[in-house]
Amino acid sequence: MTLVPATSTRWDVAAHATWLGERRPAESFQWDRWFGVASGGASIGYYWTTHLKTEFDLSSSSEGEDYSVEIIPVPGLTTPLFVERDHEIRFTTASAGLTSQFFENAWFHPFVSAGLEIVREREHIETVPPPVPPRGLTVSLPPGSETRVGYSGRPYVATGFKLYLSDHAFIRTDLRTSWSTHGLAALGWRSGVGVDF
Amino acid sequence: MHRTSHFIITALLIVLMAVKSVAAQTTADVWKSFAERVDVGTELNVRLDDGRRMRATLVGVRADAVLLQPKTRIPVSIQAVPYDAIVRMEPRKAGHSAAKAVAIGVATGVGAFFGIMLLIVAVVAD
Repeated sequence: MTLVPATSTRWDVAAHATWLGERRPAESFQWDRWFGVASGGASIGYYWTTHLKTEFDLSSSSEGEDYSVEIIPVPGLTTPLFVERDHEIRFTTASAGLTSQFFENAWFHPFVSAGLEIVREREHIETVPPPVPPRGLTVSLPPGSETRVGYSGRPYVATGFKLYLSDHAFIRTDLRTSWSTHGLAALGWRSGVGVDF
Repeated sequence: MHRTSHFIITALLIVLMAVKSVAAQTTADVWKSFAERVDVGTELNVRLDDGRRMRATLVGVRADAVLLQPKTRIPVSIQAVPYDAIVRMEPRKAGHSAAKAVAIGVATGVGAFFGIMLLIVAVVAD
């Protein structure tokens, strides 16, 4: 007995919107920071079997904002200078992974995924000048404006489900966690629509 | 002594196999009898001896198998399921099942979330 249709689809594509939380460890800030941003993207998958799929995904986020305070020692003074720096960060992620999908030819398919993602992190930093600069003293302030671009790779695991609205159109949602040597690096709740073909 | 024990073991095996065969035959007969009494077109929950479960519509009854149309997302051909492969078969109750209620709730939640996310993206991108 088989529940597999005579002609099964091999591909699926989906567009998704995501609430993304990116965690930055204490080394770049005074303490761990979470950037909560909205993100959008698209994925394409190829089914090797009815239960195993390779999936590629590309997404880009809105700008997350935060600030840090740098403590700059002033020669001759016991009180250091506190300089505020405003950070704007945008995350772009490309990933590839394997998805294991449960059930056969059903309307509801839970799945688990694991893979690797490459994250491009573009950070623009503006230094807020001190309202009353110390007179007569020469201190080296951070640059007024700078942009940093960094890349990193990290594994991810995800779990979610596809809920079909018709034979081939579905909505999907999943919870995705990304990991680095510092532990949890990102948490994303994605939801989108797609189609099999 | 050795010959006696050999005889007893052989006899036990024969009896056990006969009992199992009769039980399987009886179960198959029961499912056949059941299927013959169910109206064609009735929706059934079926569980097979390999652990698989399915929802299906009864479309016919044969001497050796029941003919079922599985309720799948993409239609599949009618399946002849041998009676001795059936572990459980019962008509589905009318009305909303708990799973359907959960699915509707989940779909509503996902739809709401997706809408909110689109709004957030629109506002942020503005």
